[in-house]
Amino acid sequence: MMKTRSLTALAAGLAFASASLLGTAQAADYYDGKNIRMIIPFSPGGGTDTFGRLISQYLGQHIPGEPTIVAENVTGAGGLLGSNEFAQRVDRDGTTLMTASGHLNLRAFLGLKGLRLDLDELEPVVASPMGHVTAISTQVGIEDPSEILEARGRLTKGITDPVGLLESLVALEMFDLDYRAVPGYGGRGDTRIAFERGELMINTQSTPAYLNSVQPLVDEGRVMPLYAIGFIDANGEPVRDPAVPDMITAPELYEQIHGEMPSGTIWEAFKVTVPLVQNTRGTVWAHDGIPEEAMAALRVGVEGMVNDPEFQAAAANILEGYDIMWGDDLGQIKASMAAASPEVLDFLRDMLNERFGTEFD
Amino acid sequence: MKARLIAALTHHLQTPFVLAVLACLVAMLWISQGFSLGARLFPTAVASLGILLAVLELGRQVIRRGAKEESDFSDLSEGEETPAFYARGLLFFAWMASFIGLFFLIGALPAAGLYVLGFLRLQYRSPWLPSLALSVGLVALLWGLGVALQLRWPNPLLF
Amino acid sequence: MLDALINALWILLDPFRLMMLFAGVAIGIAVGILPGLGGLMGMALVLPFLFGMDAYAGVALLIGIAAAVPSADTFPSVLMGIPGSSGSQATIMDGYPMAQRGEAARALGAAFTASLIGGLIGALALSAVVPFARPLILAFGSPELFMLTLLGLSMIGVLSGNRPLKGMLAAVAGLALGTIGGAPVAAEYRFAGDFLYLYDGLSLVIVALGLFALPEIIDLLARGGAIAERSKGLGHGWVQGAKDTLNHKWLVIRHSIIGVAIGAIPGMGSSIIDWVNYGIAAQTSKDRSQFGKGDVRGVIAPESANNAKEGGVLMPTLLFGVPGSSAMAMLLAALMIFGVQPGPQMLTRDLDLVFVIIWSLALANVFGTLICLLLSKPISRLTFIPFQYIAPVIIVIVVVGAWQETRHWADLAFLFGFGVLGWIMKRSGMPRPPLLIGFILSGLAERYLWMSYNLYDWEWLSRPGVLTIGGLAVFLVVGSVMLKRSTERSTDALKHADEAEKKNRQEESR
Repeated sequence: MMKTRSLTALAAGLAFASASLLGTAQAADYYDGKNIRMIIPFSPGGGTDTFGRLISQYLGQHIPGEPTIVAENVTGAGGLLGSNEFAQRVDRDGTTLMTASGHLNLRAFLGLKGLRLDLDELEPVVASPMGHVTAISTQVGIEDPSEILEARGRLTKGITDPVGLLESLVALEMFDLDYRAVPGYGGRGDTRIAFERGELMINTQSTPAYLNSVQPLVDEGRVMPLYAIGFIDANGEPVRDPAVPDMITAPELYEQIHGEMPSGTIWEAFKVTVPLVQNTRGTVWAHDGIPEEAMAALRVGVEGMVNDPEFQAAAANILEGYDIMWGDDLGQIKASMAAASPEVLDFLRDMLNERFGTEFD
Repeated sequence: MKARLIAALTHHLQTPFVLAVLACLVAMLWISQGFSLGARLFPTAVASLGILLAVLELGRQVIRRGAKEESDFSDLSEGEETPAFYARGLLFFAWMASFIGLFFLIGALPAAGLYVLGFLRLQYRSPWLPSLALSVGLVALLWGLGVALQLRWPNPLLF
Repeated sequence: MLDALINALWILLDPFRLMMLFAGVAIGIAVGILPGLGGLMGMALVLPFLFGMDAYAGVALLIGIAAAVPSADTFPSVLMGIPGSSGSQATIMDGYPMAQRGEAARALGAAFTASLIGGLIGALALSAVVPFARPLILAFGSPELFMLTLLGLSMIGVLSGNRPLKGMLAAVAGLALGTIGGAPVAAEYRFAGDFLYLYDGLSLVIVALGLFALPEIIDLLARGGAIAERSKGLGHGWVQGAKDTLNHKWLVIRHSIIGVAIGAIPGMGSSIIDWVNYGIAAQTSKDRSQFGKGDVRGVIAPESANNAKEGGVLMPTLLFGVPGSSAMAMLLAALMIFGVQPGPQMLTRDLDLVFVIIWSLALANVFGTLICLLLSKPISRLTFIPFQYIAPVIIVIVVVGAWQETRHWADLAFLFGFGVLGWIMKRSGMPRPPLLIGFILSGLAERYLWMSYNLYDWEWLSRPGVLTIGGLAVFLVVGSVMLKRSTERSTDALKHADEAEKKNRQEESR
């Protein structure tokens, strides 16, 4: 009895081993002599583009078959042309990947007008997270973040592209703050200069940009950090931003002011928006329907890449203090999308549409 | 008759052109009224100003009609305002359009080679040697640029 | 400070780093000469090689590209009347007529000398001003930026020659074209329908190539012959051009400073710099009759500003981490790869790197212009070759360059369309530069006007910066009209005198 069982186990083990060997063999064959095209739907420069180029540079050599990955900026229509090309006009055989930003993911998720990208048909390969911090000018006359609702004067907040700032807007909405949105800024960097100039009163920056460029203003006493947007963990609970672990997060500040955690649709919206934007500041997507051996080869490649000390050294500066997301952790991206109820999506769309006129399909 | 034809094509091309601009501006004004406030004001202001300027310009042209407007109606010299000159211009536009067509139909490099050869042989009857040399040289240059600068060419529609 | 400056030079003089600087200059010259390709493309090309590279070498490579493009893009502008990149559009105005007169080498010599001096002034300004530039940059809020767009629009008068009404109409048409695509302050796509290509608006490269390159090629072909007549010879050559530039040293210095200043203001975009400088040079000249017909000052002013601006655009890039131009976004990406955080603390923490950047800028300008000068004589001989051999090559290169813009079929459709438009405009006496200026400034004007209103209601009109810039614009326009009147009177007087003399002679000969 004992013997048969161990025999079966052995057989099963052998079968598994050969299957996985076969799997690697097929995976090894799959990219042999092929090139992978990496579509980056933004112009060169900037965080997402740099992440995409970093991955293009190092991923290929770890994928069995060692395909060359060629990064290509397919720009136009604020990322729509490149995304739509990836969604509709390329072969779904794993030879085309795309690097998207968190905000592009959010646009696709909300169904922005003109965008044909359907995240349900895609599979994340590797991603990098990025937190954000909101600061306020001391000109508004408050001494502590908890007095935020007593802020005086015109609370101007610079808007670049409203969908691109959604996590910061949802946080402000959560506090029910009466702010004045000033659209027209070219990018977050421009809003930072305007903030420093005293044109804008409220400003949200990525955490590294905050630490680097806004912290000096804090030291001068001209601005005050309000809160970090914070992260949402796999259980849907808010946690602190690992890059600024001492800074209060938006939900915590809410609890401090109101004595209870935020609730209702706006809180659900916060819990959907924040992980989707912040976990995927740079996301490399593959099509869901690519051959299994291609997907296996990509997974093998990513594992090899993240364990490669050379990659780790190159990536350290680009990830700016956050850990790269790969393997099972990626499941969180899709899980947070699946958790979003239709009401929350409608709420977000309505908010963007009423306040900024953004149109969705 | 011939003089009038020349005039219509040259000196007085300015009038139809201004009329076309005027039509575009009116269309723009019309369409932009359907936009939200933030998107509407600037096009409305620009189109209104443009319509005013176009009407003024038309008025100026009517008043000054007949008078010789020194270097006013054209950036060209006298010899370049004959119908023949116009026809040649259109011919070369056609050559250019044919290259763009070939570019998409058979791909960038073959189109470039074929176009240079065709242009020199058919249009100018240049000798074979320089035509071929230029054509091959240009294709080699483009190929080198494509490799060095990682240019991406269109997918030919025909193959 | 001085120690750091010298130390940085030693850092850069390492053979590998110098080699990278040279490589950058070579790439910059190549993409600068080819119409439609610009510094952004060259820099994107080398970005993958930066991973693992020494930061000083990487920065030298990128700065080498950025500094060489504005020198090399002069070639097509002068020789063919085709903008080599968006920074050298205004050089066409006088550089190309000079080439047609057979003075291509002179125009190039003047342009490159001006580029060299301008680039060095830019590097000098960067090193001298960088510690104090922060408050200067912060002084330009949305209202001031709006006034600067108005200042840019006030150049239209002088660029329209003796056809002010047509010039204004062309500028308004440009403003109208600029409204196509996403509205800057509202989430709405205007005049684009469902055509996604238009969501970002029309591309400046396509519009400029279409308006200026195609009509020139077509008319040259229709005319037959070469760009310049061989009988007129190569003119005085580039030495004469260099002398011209040195004779106008105040012009070079003034426009270099203007170039640095406008480049340093984030949010203006560097493609307007050459036009503004051309306009100012023409507006403040006593005798403006030759502008647009091959006045060497019309080459010197935009070219010195064009190279000097790189020193300017580096200021917001290094001090605020906000790219001063699209190519500078690539430098920021490179700094990110090297783990360098741009910002005021760069001046303390990474002072070496800042000075390496400045030295690279200076050296790259010297190398770049020297190479261009050496190339100028052989390349300007191209203007004597029968044009039918040149035209197909240029057509192919322009089409390929335009295609690289977004690689969408509409790139070429719009290139062709703007070519036809430019050709018709040429025939109906509508000046083309105002259209381009209107197009460049359209989005900026709308954006900053709305932002000013949103931020300050109408109070912004009384800000000192706004009043100053407004006053400057009025002064330039009024002053230029008065200058023109007085010169017209004097030239008229001269003409009368001439005619009188001729009559006398004729009578005498009888």
